[in-house]
Amino acid sequence: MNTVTLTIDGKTITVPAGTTVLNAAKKLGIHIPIFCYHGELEPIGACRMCLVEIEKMPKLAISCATVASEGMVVYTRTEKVLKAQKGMLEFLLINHPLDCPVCDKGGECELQDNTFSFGPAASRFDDLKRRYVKRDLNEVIRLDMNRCIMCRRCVRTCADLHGEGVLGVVERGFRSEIDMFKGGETECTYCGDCIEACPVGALTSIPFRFKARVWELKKTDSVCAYCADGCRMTLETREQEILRVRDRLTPGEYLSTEHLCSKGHFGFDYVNKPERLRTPLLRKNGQLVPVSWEEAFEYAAKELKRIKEVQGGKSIGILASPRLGTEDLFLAKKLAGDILETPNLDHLLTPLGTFEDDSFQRLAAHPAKLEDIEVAQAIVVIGTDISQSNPLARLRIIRSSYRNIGKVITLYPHDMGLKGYVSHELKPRFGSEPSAVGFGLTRALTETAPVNAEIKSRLNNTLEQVSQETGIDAPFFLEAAKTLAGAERRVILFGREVLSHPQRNEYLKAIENLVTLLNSLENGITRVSWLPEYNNSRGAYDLGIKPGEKGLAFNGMMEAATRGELKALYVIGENPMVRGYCPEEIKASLGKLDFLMVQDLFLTETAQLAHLVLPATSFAEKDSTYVAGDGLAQKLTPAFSPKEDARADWYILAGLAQAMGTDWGLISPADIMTLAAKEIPGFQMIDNSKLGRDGLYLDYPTPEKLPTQWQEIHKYTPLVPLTDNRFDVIIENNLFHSGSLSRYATVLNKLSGAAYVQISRMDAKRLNLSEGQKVTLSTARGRFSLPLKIRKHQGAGTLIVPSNFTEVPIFNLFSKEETRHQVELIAG
Amino acid sequence: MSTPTLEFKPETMIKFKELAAKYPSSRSALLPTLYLAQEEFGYLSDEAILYVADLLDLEPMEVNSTASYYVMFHRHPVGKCIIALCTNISCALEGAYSVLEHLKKILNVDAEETSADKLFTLKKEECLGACGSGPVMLINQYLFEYLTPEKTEKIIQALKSGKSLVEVHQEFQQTDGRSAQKIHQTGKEVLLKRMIGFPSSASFETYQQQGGYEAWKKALTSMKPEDVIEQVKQSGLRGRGGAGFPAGMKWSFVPKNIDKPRYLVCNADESEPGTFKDRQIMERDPHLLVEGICIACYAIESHQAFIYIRGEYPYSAVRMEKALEEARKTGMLGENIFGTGYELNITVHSGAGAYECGEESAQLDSLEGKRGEPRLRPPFPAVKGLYGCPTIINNVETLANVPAIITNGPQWYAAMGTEKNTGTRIYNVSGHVVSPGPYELPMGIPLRELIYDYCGGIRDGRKLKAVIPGGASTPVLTPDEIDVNMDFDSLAKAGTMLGSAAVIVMDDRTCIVQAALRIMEFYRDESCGKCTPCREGTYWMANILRRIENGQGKMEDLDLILDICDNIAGKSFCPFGDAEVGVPVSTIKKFREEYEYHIKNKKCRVSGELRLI
Repeated sequence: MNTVTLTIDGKTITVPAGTTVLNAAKKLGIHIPIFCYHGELEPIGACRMCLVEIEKMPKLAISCATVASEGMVVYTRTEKVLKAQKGMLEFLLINHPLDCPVCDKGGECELQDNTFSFGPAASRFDDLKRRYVKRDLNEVIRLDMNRCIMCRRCVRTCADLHGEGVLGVVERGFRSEIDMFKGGETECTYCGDCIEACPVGALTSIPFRFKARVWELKKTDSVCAYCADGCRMTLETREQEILRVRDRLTPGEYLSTEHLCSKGHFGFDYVNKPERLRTPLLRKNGQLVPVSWEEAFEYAAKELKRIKEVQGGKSIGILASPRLGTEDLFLAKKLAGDILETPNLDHLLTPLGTFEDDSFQRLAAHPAKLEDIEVAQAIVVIGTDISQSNPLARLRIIRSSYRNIGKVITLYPHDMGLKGYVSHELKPRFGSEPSAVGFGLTRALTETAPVNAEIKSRLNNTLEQVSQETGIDAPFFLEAAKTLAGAERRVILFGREVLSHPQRNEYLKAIENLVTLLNSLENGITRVSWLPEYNNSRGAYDLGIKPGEKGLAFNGMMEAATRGELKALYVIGENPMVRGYCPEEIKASLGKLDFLMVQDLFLTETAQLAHLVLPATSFAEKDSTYVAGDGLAQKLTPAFSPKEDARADWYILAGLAQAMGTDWGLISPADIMTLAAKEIPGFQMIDNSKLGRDGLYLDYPTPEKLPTQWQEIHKYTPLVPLTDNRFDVIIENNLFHSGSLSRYATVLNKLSGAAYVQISRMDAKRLNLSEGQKVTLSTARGRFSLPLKIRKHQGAGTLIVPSNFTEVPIFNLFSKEETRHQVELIAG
Repeated sequence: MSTPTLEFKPETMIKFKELAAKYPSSRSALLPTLYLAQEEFGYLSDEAILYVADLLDLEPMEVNSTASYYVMFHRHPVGKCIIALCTNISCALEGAYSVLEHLKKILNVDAEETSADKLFTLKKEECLGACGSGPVMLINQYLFEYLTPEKTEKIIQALKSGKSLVEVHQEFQQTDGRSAQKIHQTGKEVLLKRMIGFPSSASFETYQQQGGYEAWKKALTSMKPEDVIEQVKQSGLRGRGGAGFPAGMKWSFVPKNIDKPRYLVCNADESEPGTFKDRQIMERDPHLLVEGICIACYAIESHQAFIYIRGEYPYSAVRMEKALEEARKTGMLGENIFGTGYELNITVHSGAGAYECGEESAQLDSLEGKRGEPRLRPPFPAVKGLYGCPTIINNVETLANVPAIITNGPQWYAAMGTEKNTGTRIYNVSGHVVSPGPYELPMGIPLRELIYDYCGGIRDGRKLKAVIPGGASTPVLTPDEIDVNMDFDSLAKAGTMLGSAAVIVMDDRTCIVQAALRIMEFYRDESCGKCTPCREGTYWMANILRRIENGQGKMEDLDLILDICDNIAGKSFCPFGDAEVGVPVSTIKKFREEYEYHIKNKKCRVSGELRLI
């Protein structure tokens, strides 16, 4: 590596070539004040706070953008520099109000700190200060332009880091303002990150406003409990209340290099809700009444024992949520296997079905790490609106593109919220995606790269055929294939809509073939990753939370209950009454059970039907481990003790085992993980004590070249596009929701607005529909109405319906057998 | 509101598609598209912003952020006629404020307001580049020069009576004997020679008859690009935009053997108050500029050039477009020029009202459809400029010098002027001289000779009080300092700058405090706001100067201003910071007693008949 040696304030240091003076000084422990500098972004040199004196340079230089050179001699504390620093702070303060006593930023304000260390004691400004009216940019961000110092960290975070461009500078000169433009298609996915970026109190959090002085807050490292990206966060709490959630902080730094999406920042307030379950509830005379844990355990043990003895273990089922901790899931499996002796275990609700397909298992065998995305030269994203499903994976894609490292290829019928960062946007018609991947991209690869000749001989379609089927012109495939073939490191990500696709099997095989083909190239490494949905989906998958031999998945359990074969169901952290297909049928099935036990934070729709309800703890009160989508196991630390009688899921499971006569001897999550490490392949390394602050990756087998089998896709034909007012429905999760916990998160619900159905502009024009107009979705099973959202880049012939609003009974419209979800759209 | 509620008429849509096709990157079409939208929808409402964003696939905030940066884009409803009255220093010296007061009275509005009948919006405009013929105003795209309150009232009455703007403008030009800037002959002309004595100096025929495009042919058919650079180097030609950087050397910075397009951008954002030379070239001899651009492009092996013309020069843009059309038709531009296989396209791009866009890197951002804010250097534009490609930015006058250098040789050129300041210079003289206007003279002419011999001295027998020698960014000279030669080095030695050679002459009726305040308000309003010292410093100083003017000044304010200037100079992001302190520092140093008088007596020391604010 090339290095340069320079001297700063008399101290000499050798740094890699390209290092800025600011960062070289930092390594020497020399503090140079900054405002607009942001380590993740290109310097802009706007604030002029970091000026230093450099020998042979006529003017002071900004250390944030001046690259260290050999023999450079830098001074950071000369009279000239000190005067400039005082001058800049005086400039910044002429219009800044002195309202620190009532400013939420007080105590963590960079202007305050820099003024204390470098500023003038008094201001010579005695004219009128520029004045703005404070206003709310949205439900969670308040803008006080009076405090703004125009460092633009918020705007750059929004535009360059997040690729959103919702915030911007308007006007110019001393009239410049930060503003948000409303009415566009984009809603920021990372709402709240701009607040984190603000060095002063110009952007503050409305939910946090005036709640506390920051130094009173207890800070606890935790992991987000929503999607599978495994974002680390810092919980800021007082007593048993979370007051604020921030990107995980590095001690001594104001700016974090880790980020959170809107859910991470603002989705926590359900933890504080008074509706949280606080004691076990037992149904007595038709009413759920509070009981002690002793009584609850005794009752549960008695019921489960009785049913097991009479009908056998097979008459009992467990549905454990992928939101649970690894310890909880492991014990749920152990309970099913060792004590209840039932193979009926599941962690999934449709529409994703099971994960038994061979292709899926090979594709999911060794996930790419999220950090692999940042160094890949080609990134392929297939079948998910990644901005909604995996916002932080998206952020890494943007970062790679921003740094000119990776080229992005997307394959999806709709917009993926990656505008401006995509090199090759392949938008197949809905229902032709398997063709686009399995015949289009693969065929193009055979034409542009030295692929395995044997495989090549098996692909006898032409790109013209694929173009006709998919609506993507051949050159687009060829260009994308060139990028793929030329890359040394490739990452392929596939998501939810591959798994929920009507032609899921073909789709998965197509992806496998693409990977196989790339693996047959001499150069380059291809990594492939399934982007799971929930915080511990990967953990649940790796632990094998699935039906055992001849066991039933959830839908099977419901059918068995209807037939009277399943007598008891233990639902842990799930709510099938809202998230399963045909809630009415589920309700009828559940009604047939002798014993329904539900363990949750809230009295959910399912819990309301239960015989016994057990109060569990939230992520904030939990000592637990989540395995992120890329296999990173990370530890959560409890920020405070559980509310009243709520208990951790693992604790309840162990208590239940004990009540049934088996003492596992497990008294802490660490004990459980030690045991899991022994029993579950891949978990060997995950010893609780070694997890530390950064977590550990699970140990997956044979990483380098998987899969390598060519899958024949027999007699594939794309779905026939629907016509007139008939549409394919794509059931999606809106970012601001996840369907369960988020429903109790008040702030998130304000951000997400009302439920909607989303249509392409082309279809809206064709049917003469307008934005916000009410439309009815109708099938033979039912109908409901929602206002319309129109999107320019959505695929034609589709409706995107977010399933996770309570007011969207989308699962009522389809049977669980249907794989293609078709509706009729009626205006009004 | 994700589906736009507005839509262009079909014919506008055709225009949009044509202009979008002119740029390598669609975002560059943002400014011209905003002009189209403004014309079609009256002003840039939120709906219009959304529509433009949708057309160009940009975030609405990106469009809004850009639109709100430029003063010629209106985010609020405006009148049918936008009266942009220049009130900057040169026009102010000619009585612009009495015209402004009169306009306010007859329209019954304040500045920046729209009349009740929605016919007129009155705007206090910054320099319109017609400083030798002030006061001037631009009504929509028509320029009215040599205004007086009476003439202005006639114009307004005519417009109110329902006459079209075209008619009114024509009438104004025909009936008023003094309706356009006169080019004063010095006998030393190189650049302006065709403008004197050739009524149709702008036409291709005139240009060709006078030997036009011979240099282009010579360069392209008989010289190698590096020979062209060498000749320009030898000529000693220095940049005429203000900094005086050797043009040939700048060209040689373009990296060789790079697999990227190279661009030439002609900086026609002539915004330095007091400057109007480039406008003369573009409007009266546009082919001279086209030829200069052609040769410069060839020198750096560029096949695409842009002429970035400030939005306040709509007529220059029309003239340049016409000249380019003629040049394309006659094979001077396009594919396979002179049968050599060389291809070259030149595109006119209009700014939208932002002084900062004259700064070369800010101009590139503006050309890319962004806010015109300066970029960090390094990398320098010659290495990484427009769209990240090697780019050379040259001023109009600089490029206009190139054909003569190629035709007559570098030695011929270097023989004019002084050793290190070769060639001629168009001196833009405005203010209180007998004959203001452009004077082309050899570099290094003594300032006294320029003012007294060429411009006829101070008007009405008054006394000279101060001269700004190179535009509003340059420190003032006192009457006993005018025995200085007008070239880059001599003026630097005298503690000031040649800049754009905009000589602003002030007589003894001029209040120095008002002049400084007027200039400071210009800098305050034109600062892009990116860096702290410039954004806050101009605001602060304008406040202080305004206070002093209003009689609320304090003696310590003067040293405070000097210290603020010290905190700006050399510390701002771009040269704008150094520019904005030139006048306050030099006037406080050289006219301190006048400031002190103002503070002590709460009024001007001069009579007050001439208001500059």
